[in-house]
Amino acid sequence: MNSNIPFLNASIAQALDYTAPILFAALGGVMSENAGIVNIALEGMMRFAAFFGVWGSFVSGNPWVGLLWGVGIGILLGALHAYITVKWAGDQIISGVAINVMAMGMITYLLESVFKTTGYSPPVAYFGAPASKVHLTFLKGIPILGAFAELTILIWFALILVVVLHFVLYHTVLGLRIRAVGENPHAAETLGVNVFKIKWFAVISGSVLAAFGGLALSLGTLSSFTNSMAMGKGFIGLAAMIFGKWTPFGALGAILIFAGAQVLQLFMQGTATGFAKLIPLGFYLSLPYMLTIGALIGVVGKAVGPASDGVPYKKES
Amino acid sequence: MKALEVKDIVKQFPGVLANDSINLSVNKGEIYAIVGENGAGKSTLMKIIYGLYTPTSGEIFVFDKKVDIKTPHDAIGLKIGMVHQEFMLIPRFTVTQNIVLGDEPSKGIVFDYKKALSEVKELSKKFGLKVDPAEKVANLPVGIQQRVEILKILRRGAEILIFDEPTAVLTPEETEDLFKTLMKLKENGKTIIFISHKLKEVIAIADRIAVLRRGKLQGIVEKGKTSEVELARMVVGRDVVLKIPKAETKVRETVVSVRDLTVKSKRGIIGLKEVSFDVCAGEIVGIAGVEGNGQAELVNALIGFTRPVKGTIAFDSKELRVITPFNIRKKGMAYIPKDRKMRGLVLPFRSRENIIMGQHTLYPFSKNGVLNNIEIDKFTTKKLEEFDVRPRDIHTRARNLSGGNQQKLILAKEMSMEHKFLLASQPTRGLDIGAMEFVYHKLIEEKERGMAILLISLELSEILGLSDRILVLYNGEIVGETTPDKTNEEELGLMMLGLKKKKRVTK
Amino acid sequence: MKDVFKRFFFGKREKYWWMNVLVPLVSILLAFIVGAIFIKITGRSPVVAYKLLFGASGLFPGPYWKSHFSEMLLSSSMYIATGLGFAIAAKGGLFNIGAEGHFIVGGITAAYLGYAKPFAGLPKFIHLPLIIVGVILAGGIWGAIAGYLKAKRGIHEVITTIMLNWIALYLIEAWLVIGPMKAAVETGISGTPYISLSAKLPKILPPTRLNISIIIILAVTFLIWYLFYKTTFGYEIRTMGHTLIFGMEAPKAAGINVERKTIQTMFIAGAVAALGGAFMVLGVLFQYPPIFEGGYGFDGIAVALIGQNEPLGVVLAGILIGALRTGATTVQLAHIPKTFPSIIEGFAVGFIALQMLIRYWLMKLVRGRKKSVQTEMGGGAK
Repeated sequence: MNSNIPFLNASIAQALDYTAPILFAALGGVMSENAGIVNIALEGMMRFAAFFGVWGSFVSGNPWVGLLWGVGIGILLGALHAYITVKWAGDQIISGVAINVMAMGMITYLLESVFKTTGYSPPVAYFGAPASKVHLTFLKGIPILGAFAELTILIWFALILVVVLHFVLYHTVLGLRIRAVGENPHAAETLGVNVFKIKWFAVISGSVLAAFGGLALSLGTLSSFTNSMAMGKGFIGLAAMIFGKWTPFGALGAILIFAGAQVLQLFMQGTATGFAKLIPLGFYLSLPYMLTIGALIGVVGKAVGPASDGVPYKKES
Repeated sequence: MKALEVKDIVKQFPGVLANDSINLSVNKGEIYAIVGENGAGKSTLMKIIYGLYTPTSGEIFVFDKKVDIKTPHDAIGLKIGMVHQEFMLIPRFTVTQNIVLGDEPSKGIVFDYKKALSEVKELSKKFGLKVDPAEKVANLPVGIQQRVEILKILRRGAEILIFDEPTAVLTPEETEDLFKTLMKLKENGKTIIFISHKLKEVIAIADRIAVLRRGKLQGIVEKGKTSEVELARMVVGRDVVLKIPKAETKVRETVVSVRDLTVKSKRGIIGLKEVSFDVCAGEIVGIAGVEGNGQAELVNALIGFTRPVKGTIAFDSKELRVITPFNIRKKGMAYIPKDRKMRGLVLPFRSRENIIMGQHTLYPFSKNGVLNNIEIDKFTTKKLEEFDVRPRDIHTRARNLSGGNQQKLILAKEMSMEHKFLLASQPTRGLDIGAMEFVYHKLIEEKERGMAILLISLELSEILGLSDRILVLYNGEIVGETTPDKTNEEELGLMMLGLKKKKRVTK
Repeated sequence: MKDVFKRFFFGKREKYWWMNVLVPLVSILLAFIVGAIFIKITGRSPVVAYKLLFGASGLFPGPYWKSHFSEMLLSSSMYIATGLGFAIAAKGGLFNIGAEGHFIVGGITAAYLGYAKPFAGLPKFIHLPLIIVGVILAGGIWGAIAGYLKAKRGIHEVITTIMLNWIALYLIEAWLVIGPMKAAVETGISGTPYISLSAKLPKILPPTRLNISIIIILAVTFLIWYLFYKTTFGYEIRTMGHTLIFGMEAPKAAGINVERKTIQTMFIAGAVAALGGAFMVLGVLFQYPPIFEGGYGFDGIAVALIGQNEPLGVVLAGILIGALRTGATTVQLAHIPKTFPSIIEGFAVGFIALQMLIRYWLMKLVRGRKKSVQTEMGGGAK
């Protein structure tokens, strides 16, 4: 059994690596939707940021510059989504689809324009390089905890953000107002809360979080941008947010179930013997998704979001 | 000293002149009522004063100073507060969170909830408005929710308090409580503006009454110098007798019988306990009660939204095994919901589409699943005329109809369906006098046609005027059965509070 | 004529009915303008790009027009299928992002029924309809799962359709195609075996690849339109579309079985989107390859939105997107990446989202500056 510990830890570490981008995306969704703006563009925003992060790092040779570029594009996209949905009370779903579609076309276009390659970028300086990782050597060799011995700074940031976001939403004045705006913007308005300002803030900061998700992929896990890398992770983040009932810890819990299935999948693939070996790969790969549905059927039931989530807010004239 | 003065206020909406140069002045420390029918321009005027609308032209003075109110924030700054008709509360938040929102006690960026709790406690003590600061608003009865609204604006230091139709959702007892609160606020030197279309209440509480009609000021009367009839004439512009037509009762066979019906509420607790009653063809059975005493559960069980925990519902003395909206309607039930927008109509649908909902699968509206638009249009044209829905245009979308016309459309839809039993849940809720009269007439007509009618209402005058028998619902149980000639509002009021029981004459 | 047109598509007496046509057109136009600016900024010539794009799009006559035209319609029929998959669900108030999954489920079903033994020997007039029925059932059931989970368990369809997309992908491409349905090694084929001749869609414009898929999908579109606006079934779906997302219960109170309708709506949406995958296998690839060309499902969302979720609109938007994708292969000649059309597509959807602004503008143009345009803005088709 003991011989499996390094493998188990490696699997968990791998799962955490896999989790961080989704967690960022889910937290971005939590932020935005608590203020009543649905953001299905998480996916596209991740893709944009993943690319811009690599571009920034490529130009400067410094992943931190890449990080800034990624955050910058996150702010821009958030502002675009807010302009459409908050300023012009446009349909939030359509706006999100627009950003997602744009991400598909524009990034491939830019990839070919900037790097003269198709499908992937050259490797750049990144946070996942052994020297750039956060080393907690004392944890090494301990089952499970050992997985935390060598993680990228972005993974730690994602985990810390869960606590931070929880604190902001439930223990600060700003958080109270964000939630009030998502529940009943008219009530908030009559109390002198600037609904539009709050929504702008929440959408943009949510987009920045999603952008971190993209950065965690391209500058955390890999050291380059590839065309297929964000594929579906933003949407899984969205699902995790709903599953987690629009709360930071809920989203984390949902993703942990998901990641658990992922670990199991890797673990089984690696060590399965006998009967387990007979089960085709496809089942292991789809296990996390089946489990998510199963968990929703069995445990959670009806998910209820903020009361005014997705409803465009217009001031009476 | 004048607390508030408006001069020549005009508000033009596309196609509607909502306020036509209105002049009012309200003294400090008085209760000033503004009455008028729905659409007379009362709410528009108040929303202008509160900064939710911008007036097309005109001036506003607060405490003798000319002011420019662009947002509610400005209004709050001028010590104007408003209790809206539809409460501006967040059900998931606690009382305290609702009250302090927008002006939260804090330590740095951290919301100081403990301090907020104690502030609310103090405030509630100071004005004698009892609330539990830590309770979630979703769990509070309507009367208490209103108290939260009042506390909310008092905390902002409001000197001028505007109440938009505050009694529309209250029971008689809660209304009385509210009036006591208003008097206390007045003693504290607050100025109160009270908007209503309930003339009796206005006469009871106001120092002065301004009457609006179709956007124009009709006149101002002083306390004690008017009567309900005179005021009604000013409001409607013609003589009205708010009397409910009486009809002869010819009770026939039992249509619906409910036995030992026990139903859980949405929150999962038992909301209706072993209720039994019959409704016969040709009679109106009125259900009186304070809102939240089992009416919602009764309605939901009857239309098949909630499966009862126990008990049976029989139609034509045949017990229904599984109750779904589909099969109970097939048995012949029509339903006028209390919430028109949620349960009555599809708002973006046109009149012609709404009116067939529920009978769209029947001939002549469709055949083999294919709609017959010519028949639908013919039918709609006829029904809009018959039920006086304005505009008569069959293509008007429901969301563009006024509340009264939406209700008429629902009546047209439900009453033209083949049915024997009509469940009318607060059918006059939020309607003005004209539309109310219309609903009463239609209910009486139905009764004379031999329908069995179950009328659920919070308005005792309505219950007493229309019903042949009255059941009183309290805490999920029927605590009494009586007839209009053997009781009065006072006695019903006591029964509704569970303070008096009356033996049931029949079952 | 104008009146007939107007009545036919928008019902009588809709004030500013043309707004619903103009908004998507203006959005597309603006998208092309912004696209041109984008090309200019990245140092290429918009004139050259658009010339190449439209020249090879199949929309306009020119060299090799016949083949461009056929390629355009081939891909359009798939976009229309997935676009309808989204639009049908949207009409019922459901947000279906499962078209991607339905598409590949349709594809694998068509491939299997196309090559597998008991079916492969049948005559074409039996074999082909049989495959189509099989595809409709498979895609429909895959769609109905999400509908069932929504109706009976209250699980948001956004989650379930996303999850089902991935489940379909892994089960098909990490199991079926490399396992039980893998072509025999000695054939040298990767992916599933090729379908039999009797399973191929008949060509209608030889020597091009154009086949009857476009006719099938146009017929399906007409049926869907008829279903929505002329039948009680469609009427019930539309009552849900306007109420479900707001938690309103009017249809349920009127005796409409909302749960069953939700499942049926998702069945139809899945079935139609699955047809797109079948077109791909039966008309273009003739097998299910190791990795299926994806993206039709997600582009379908854009197609539906540009087409305002109306059947006719979806057809026109599907043709536009099909044309852009067809033309895209040649823009590479000007060193412009072939994903360039998705940028235009993205902008077009973006402007659709901004339709409040566009409506406001158009209204200003029409009515002059002074009058308020507030009230007329509300009634747009959705």
